[in-house]
This record gives sequence, C-alpha cells and structure tokens, in this order.
Amino acid sequence: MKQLLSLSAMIVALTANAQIGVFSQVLDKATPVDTARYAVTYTLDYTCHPKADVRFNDVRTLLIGRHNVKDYSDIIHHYDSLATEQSKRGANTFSNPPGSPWQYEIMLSDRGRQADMKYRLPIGIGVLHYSEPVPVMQWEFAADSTRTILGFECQMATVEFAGRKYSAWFTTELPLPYGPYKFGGLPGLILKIEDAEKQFLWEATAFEKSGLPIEIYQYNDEKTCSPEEAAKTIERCYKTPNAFLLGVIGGKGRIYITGKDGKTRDASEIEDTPIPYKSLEIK
Amino acid sequence: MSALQGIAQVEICGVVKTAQGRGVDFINVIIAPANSPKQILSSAFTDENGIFTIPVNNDCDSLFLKVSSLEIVPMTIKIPNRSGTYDIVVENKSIELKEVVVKSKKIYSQGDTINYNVANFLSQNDQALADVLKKMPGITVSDAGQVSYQGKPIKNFYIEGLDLMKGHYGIATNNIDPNNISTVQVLENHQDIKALKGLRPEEQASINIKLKEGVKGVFNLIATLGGGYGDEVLWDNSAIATYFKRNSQFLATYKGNNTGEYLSQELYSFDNDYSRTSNIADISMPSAPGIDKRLYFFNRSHSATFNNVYRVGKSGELGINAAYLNDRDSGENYSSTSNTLPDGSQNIVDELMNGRSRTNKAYGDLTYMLNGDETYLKEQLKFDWSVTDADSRILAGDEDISQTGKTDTYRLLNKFHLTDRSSEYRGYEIYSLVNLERRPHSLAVSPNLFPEMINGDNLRQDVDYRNISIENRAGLLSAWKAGNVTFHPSLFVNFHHNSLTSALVKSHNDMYLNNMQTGVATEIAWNTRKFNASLYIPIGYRYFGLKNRADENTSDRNLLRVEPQFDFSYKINGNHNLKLRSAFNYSVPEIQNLYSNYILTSYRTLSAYDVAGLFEGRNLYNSFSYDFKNILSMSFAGIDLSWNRRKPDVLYGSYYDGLVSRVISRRTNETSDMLSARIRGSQGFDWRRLKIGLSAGYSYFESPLLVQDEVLRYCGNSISVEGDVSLSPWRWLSVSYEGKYYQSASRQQGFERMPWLKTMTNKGTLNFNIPGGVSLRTSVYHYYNNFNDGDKSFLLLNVEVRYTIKRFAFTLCCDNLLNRKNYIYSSQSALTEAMSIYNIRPRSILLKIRFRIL
Repeated sequence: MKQLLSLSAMIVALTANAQIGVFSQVLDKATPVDTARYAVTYTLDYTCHPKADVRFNDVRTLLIGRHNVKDYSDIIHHYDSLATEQSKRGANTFSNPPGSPWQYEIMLSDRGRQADMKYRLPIGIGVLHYSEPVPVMQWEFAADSTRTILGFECQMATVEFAGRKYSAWFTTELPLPYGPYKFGGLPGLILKIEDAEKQFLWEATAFEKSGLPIEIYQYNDEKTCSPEEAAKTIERCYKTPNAFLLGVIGGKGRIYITGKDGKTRDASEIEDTPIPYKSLEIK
Repeated sequence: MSALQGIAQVEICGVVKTAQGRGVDFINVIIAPANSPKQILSSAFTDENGIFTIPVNNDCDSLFLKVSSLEIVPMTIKIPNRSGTYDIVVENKSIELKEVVVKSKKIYSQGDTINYNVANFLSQNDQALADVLKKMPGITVSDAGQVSYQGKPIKNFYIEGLDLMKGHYGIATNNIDPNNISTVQVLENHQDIKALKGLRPEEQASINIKLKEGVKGVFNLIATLGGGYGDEVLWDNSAIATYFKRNSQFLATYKGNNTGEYLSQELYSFDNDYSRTSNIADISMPSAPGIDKRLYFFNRSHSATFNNVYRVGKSGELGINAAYLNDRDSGENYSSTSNTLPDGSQNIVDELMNGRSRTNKAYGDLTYMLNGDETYLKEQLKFDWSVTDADSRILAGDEDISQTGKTDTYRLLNKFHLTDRSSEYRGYEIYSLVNLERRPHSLAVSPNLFPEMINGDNLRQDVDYRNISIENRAGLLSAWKAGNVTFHPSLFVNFHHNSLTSALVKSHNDMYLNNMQTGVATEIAWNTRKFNASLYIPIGYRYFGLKNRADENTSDRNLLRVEPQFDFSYKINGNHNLKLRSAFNYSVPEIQNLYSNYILTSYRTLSAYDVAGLFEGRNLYNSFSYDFKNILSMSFAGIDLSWNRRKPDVLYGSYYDGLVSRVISRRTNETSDMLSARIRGSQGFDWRRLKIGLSAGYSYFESPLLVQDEVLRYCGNSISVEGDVSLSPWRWLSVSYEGKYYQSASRQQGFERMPWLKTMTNKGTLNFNIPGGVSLRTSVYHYYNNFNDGDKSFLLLNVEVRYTIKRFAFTLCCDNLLNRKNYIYSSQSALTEAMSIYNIRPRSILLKIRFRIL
C-alpha cells in the first residue's frame, strides 16, 4: 500500500453518478480461522442511492465454514491476489480492481451472531475495521410462494432489518442458515435477496463444495473504529468526496478529478459535488 | 420467529439429541402444516443443549416437525397442533449437498460495451479468433476478414486497449489463438479520441480483445510444419510469435504454402487509405470465380509480418507495422462472354486463357499517437510498394495471343491529425494528408488485334500514372453553443495533381489534371441524450485544370460547389436505434477518362475518350437504418434502406466488334437510380451454443448504358438471402453452416427480361471430438448455378483428422476428396453474361505438425 500511496498524484473519475475506485492490497498478513465447507457465489447488483441511474455489479463469494462465514468481493480479492503475486516478484505498482465492486468484507462468527466488518476506503486511503453484534432477524414466511433458483426449490420470507424491508428466497434443500452480508437465520441458504427500494440485489449463481481456508487479512492502513464512526466516515466520503480525499491525501497537485466532460482538473480547485448515497443500514 | 397466520398460539418445545442423549446445537427446526408440508409456519435453531421452542399460529389439525442440518440425517415427525414437548433422537451423519454452478453469462453489457465471454462460444476445433467471432450473435466476419457489428464494419480493432494492427487486423483475427482470449468487447459508439468525448458522437463500433491473465507478459512462439502431395509436392509452414504486455505488444508471423491459402488477403488494410492511382492497362488473366479462393488458387506464397506497439508515457503509443509478400499464381480457364447489343443481338467472345503472375509487395507503417484528455495527436507515415509481373496466353477465335505485363507501385502517405480541447466546448482540430504515388505499368501483346488503327505486328505499351494529393482541414470544435446546439466552422484546402503518360507505337498521351478545392464549412450539431443531428455544409471554390503536353492544349474550369450532408440518429432506448443520412455531392473528372490518344487497356480493348471535357456528375444518397439489440436474450436485428441517384454529365461505354472493343463516351442527361433494402437478424441461444444469423436483401437499379454508340436504358433486380448456423449439440460434436442464395436478372428497355440467374452456396462443417485428443472435421462445399450447362451443382468434400498430445497437434488433411477437376461458373452483369470453366486444385493430402517452441 505504501507503494501505491507513494504516487505523486492521482486521477479520480468523479461524477455525480460514479463511485470512487479502490486500490489493490497485498495480502501478506493472513490468519486462517476456519476451513470453508461450501462456497456460494452471488452477483450483487447495487447502486449508491435508489434514485441514481447508474448501477454497479460485483461478484461476491460467501465461504461457509464450521465456525465462520465470510462474505467478500471476488473482484477485489482477485486483484489483491494478483498484487500479492506481483509483490513477491518485486513489483511496486499493481493493477487495481476495475468497475465498482462493493467495498464491504464481512466475517460472521458465533453462529452468525457477531460480525467483523471491513470497508475499503477509496484510492487506497485505508480500511475501516469495526465489530458489531448481528441482531436476530424476525423473518416472516410468505405462504404459497415457491420459486426455483439454481435448481433448488425456494420459499420467500421477508424481514425488516436496519431500516429497510427485504424479501429473501431461501431453500431448505441447503440447510445452511446463512446468506450474503449479515443476512441469515432462515432454515436454509438464502439464494436471492433484495430490498424494497431495489437498491441492493444479491442472487446466487453457484453453490459448490470448498476446502478453501477462511482467513482474516490484516490490511495496510487498517483503522479500527466503532460502527458509528465507520458510518460517518463512509457518508462523508460520498457527501463531500473532494474535501474528504484532500483531507486524507493532501493539497494541490496531489489529486486530479476527471469530470463528466472528460477534463481533468486539480481537486483543490473545483467545487465539491456530493455523490448521492444511502447506506445499506439506515438505522 | 413468527408465523403469518395468527389463530390460537401453541408452543412446541423439545430437545434434539443423539442416541447417546447428547443435545445437538444449531439444528434447523421447522414447523409445517400437515395438509401443506412445503409451507413453513415457523422455525428455530436448537441451543447449546439441543433445546428449542417454537410458537405456532395455525388452525390445522396436525403439524410436521422437521429437523435438519449438515451434521444429521434429516427427520420429520407428525405431531398434533397443540402445545407439547418432544424428544427427537437424530443420527449424526455428514450430509453431502448437491453442487450447482450457473455458467457465466455468454453476453453482458456495461454501458456502451457489450462483452462476449469467449469460453461460451469456443469449440475445440477453433484455431483462430475469426472462427469464434463468427459464432457471436451480432458479429459477422467477411471472407476478406473484415469484422462487422450489426452489419457495419468496425472502426478500430484493439488488443487490451492498444491498436496494435492499425487496420491490418486480419493478421490478428487469423492468427491469434482463441484459447488465449477471455472476452471480446464491442465498444458501441466508441469515440476513440478522448479529447472529443462527449462532444462528437461516433457511429461506428470498435472491438477490444481481452486476453486471459496467464497470456499477458508471456512470449509465445508457435510453429507449424506441413508436407504432402497433390499433383505436386505440397508444403504449408508457419511461425507465429506473440508477446502482449500492458505497455507493449508484439505480433510477428511467417507463412508459406503452395496449398491454396491466400496470404495476400490477410494483409489487407481496413482503414480506408485507398490508393489514388489504378492500372489503366491491364494484362488479362483468368478471372476469379465466385467460390473460395483456396479451391482454385495454384500458388507459391510467402508472407512475413511484424507488428509492434509501445505505450509512450501515460497517453502515447508508438506503433510499427511492416509486411512482405511474395506470391506466384498460375491459372487456366475457358470463358464465353456475351454482350447484348441495342438490336437485341449478341456479341460473343470465347477465350481459353492460361496465365501466370508473380507479385512482390511490402508495406510499412510508422504511427505515433498521443491520446490525452485534452490533446490528441496522430502522426502516421505509410509506404507501400509492389511489383507484379504477369504473362498469359489466350486462344480467342482464330487468334493465338500472348501478352506480358508489369506493374510497379510506389506510395508514400503521411497523415497528421491534431485535436486540442481547451474547455468543455472549445478547441480546434487540424487534419492533413499528403499522398505521393506512382504506378508505371506496361503491356505487350502479340499479335496486334487493331491493325487498322495502330501499325505493327506486336504492340508494346508503357503507361505511367502519378498522383500527388494534399488534403488539409482546420476547424474549431465549437465556436458557438446555445443549449444543445453547437456550431463548428472549418476551412479546407485540397489539391490533387494527377499525371498520365503513355506510349503505344505512335499514339502518345502526356497530360496532367490539377484539382483544387478550397472553402469553408460549417457543421451545426444538435446533441441530446437521445437525439444526435448534424448538418454539414461545405461551400467551396473548385478549380480543374487539364493540360495535354502532347498538343499543348489546356482547359480549365472554375466552380462554386456546395455539398451538404445531414445525419440524424435517435436512440429510442438501450435496445432500439434509428439513423438517417442524406448527402449530396459532385463526382469529379478523372484523368483515366480524359486521354484522347489510344491506350490499350486490355489485349482486346482500345480506349480513347472523344468527349475529353472537364465534366462532373451529381450524386444524391439517402439511407435509413434501424438497429435492435437485446443483450439478455442475445438478439440482434436491423433494417437498412438506401436510395442512390446519379446524374453523370458523360456516359462511358463500349463499342463491340467481334473479339475487340473500343471505349466510347457521350454527353448525357440521363439519370440512374439504385434502391436497396436489407433486413438482418442474429440470435444467440444458451441451448447447445446455438447461433443463427439470417439476412435478406433486395435491390433494384435503373441505369443508362452506352453500347455501340446508342444510349440504352436497362434495369435489374436482385434478391439475396444469407444464413449461418453454429451449434454444439454435444461436447463431442459441433456443427456450422453458412449459406447464400442469390437471384438476379436485368432487362433492356423494349426487350424481354433476361432469364433469372440463380446461384446458391452452401458450406457445412461437422467436427467430431473423439476422446484421447482426436478430432475429425469434415467440410462440404456445395455450389449451384442455374445458368450452367449440364450439372448445375458442384460438390467438394474435405476431411481433416487432428490429434493433440501435450504441446503438439498433428493434422492430416485430405482436400477435394471427390477429386473434382473443374468448376463451371456463370455470371450476369448489366447486359453481359459470362460463363467460365476453371481448374480446381486436385485431391491432395497434407500432414501438419503444430507445436509451441516457446
């Protein structure tokens, strides 16, 4: 990460409909905590705000072990792995994840009751790290609702979680009480879940046996904080992105912004434009 | 957990334990009504001691209590719908869950980029990228290697975002191993000049090839050695070296064969840098029948190419492309050409022709490009050189004719393009082109077929055609903007100098034609998110000056010309798009239609233009197209309509006199019209990798024709239907088919319509993949022509067996298994019908070994 931050200047694509990209990390500090028995792949179709036109895609992996469940972006992890290999060969600049993968990495433990959260801040500023308990979700089962996803017969259940209403499709053919993000507690694996505003939509594309280690990565520039501090930092990153980046990285000549017109300008010389943002957990 | 229905709440409690009495934690406990066992009323998990408590609100008589987890054998018991406590003894056993993987989508879009996942289109027998491109819905590859998206040729061909090939992308599509490619991206409306992004819409799509991670930064050298026998010893060798990195790319090829593979085609450039001179006198050689060239190409060919591109700085690229070709070709055919004369009679020429040609040619391109956010600079220097020697012998009528010819071509082309954008709507653009070209060529014919006009038993003629072209344009990106309307003024200065000298016994031409165009142009553009409209109006002064040095005659002409063009596009939504174009322009006089002393344009055609004035023609072109795409359903379709009206001032034609003919010309007020319509569709399926492409076209023309000093009007219709299918029904079998049906007829005014010419081409391929690395490929070619005498169908069969072991692939090919000797081909054009018989390459067998050296 130090290598990345040693860049004298950065160019950031920043428009009202864009996400700020993240940088790769070298995965050289890993602690195995469990071994995955199953791996579930989800596509995540999401947007920063329900009214924003532009939607983003991510490929998420859910590793399910005996004691731990980890949900992470496969795109970010792929580029982290490449950077790790390149770093071993002496490289000091790396390819960064393309597109706008979702920056959250979630490690659930204690039967899904405890969440260890990591959020990768834009352009390699650092990683927020916080822990919080996961409330018991009060699912309501919808009668006479069945649907086949991935060849599994699924039923629908709804829940209200952190200020949003979700509809989930789960299958008792896979008696694993988990799902993407913090969702779980159903008598089967969640294969599809979306919120009522359709800001987030996860859908499973693969369910496979796995023997992968479930590891906790210690990232460079990891900042341990409370959930509230993390929420405020992330919100600031969207509400005043220019000021946020300037505050973290430095003043004139350090960051250049590529605007909607394709022009690149020094970040310190332009007016801040908020990026519409609505957090997954509203309350 | 709670249930939806709420009647009288009961509470079901219990413990889940093993036979040994130990409570099992984290077990799913589900309550379902007995009359609807799939419905879940409530659920819970057991605690550390295996204890659970579930409230239930339901009015049914009895319930199912189900327990499951990955650690136990699932169990279901029926219980009454009332509060109670249950001990459930379960058996510990790990449960294997079935695995399910949904394959990645074959096609997906990201904004204006359509991504084709190559693995989903690839078959085991595909050897080149072009083989896979053909299977992708919406994409077509012509026989010449040109790639089109939605029926329109692509603009740029990138490999990992770099333009390595600079228009010669046939080399890449024919040689890059498709197994090395992860994704083919179609960049719709891709404005490749960053400084023009958001300012000028781009209609043409570009293609970007994304390589697999393991291929990048790895040097590959793959060689093929082949030997065999047909009616002579056969050889087919090649070596392909590739190296693709983020900041530099390299592709070099060598190919040599005498097996009919047409290497020259691979070297074509699709970047529209057309040659500005052409052969005025041509040696007559056996012409090309409308079938695959490798079936009748008797060749000895060698080609070598070198392509390199480096990233320079953040936004710069430096590219070098060079190629050399050595080609020997021999052919033989019999042809009968029949021209309909004004009185309805026929002028028939029978020819038996045997010819050989030797070609050496080379090109080299040096390109520097800076593609920054504000500045675009492209400087390109190109040279082309070729020498062709040919000789042929012709038996025509009672004449035994021999001819030799030679053509040298030298060309130097420099293109410069600078765009500088100072703000969102401000900036300027400069474009400059300099073309220097020379084409000396000669033709010698024995005997002289025009003794009444030219003295001598044998004729020898030298012609030299030279061109100097300078084209300059400078403009402002936008001088004025109001709302969504922008106004772009520009200046243009173009100068073309063409000179022609010829010597045929005592008939000499020595002349030059200067053409200068200068003026101002304005482009008024209206761009919104859905609509783009632009009106381009160049107003220019045009000067033509013709000097004939032979007789010191000069003539010139000064004109004021306006040549407007209107474009409109409407992006209805992401799936539907409409485009309109209307353009009016003048055709300019060309030196090859202005010489007044005789030139022998072929062994039996003598040309001199009676009406040697500086005449123009007027052209009006209108087109409409509709494109549809649905990425999710892999559907692509469209309609293209066009109408083209021409009004030439002078008509050029022929005066036939038995074997020989003369070119004649006459002033005219006639017009010609051409209408064409095409409907096309392409559909991909997840099922068995099926792709179906279909297009149907109709065209109608009505035109004047000058024959025997009389102006005739004639009209014609043609219908064509093309289809292609590729399918992999099972892993061991893949099938592909390409077919084309064409029907045409023309009619001279006052006469009956000529009979319909109906032709059909069918190519089918079956690939069988046999375990153990063996594959069998059979190809069937079928051609049908209703004008042929006797057998109207022609069938060819090829078989190929391939065995792959480690890094070696052995291929045994047997071509023309049925050993067909010749092919009859009939054609019809305007009021001319022709029938030809060609020799076909004989049955042959060839063994090739392909292996990776590095």
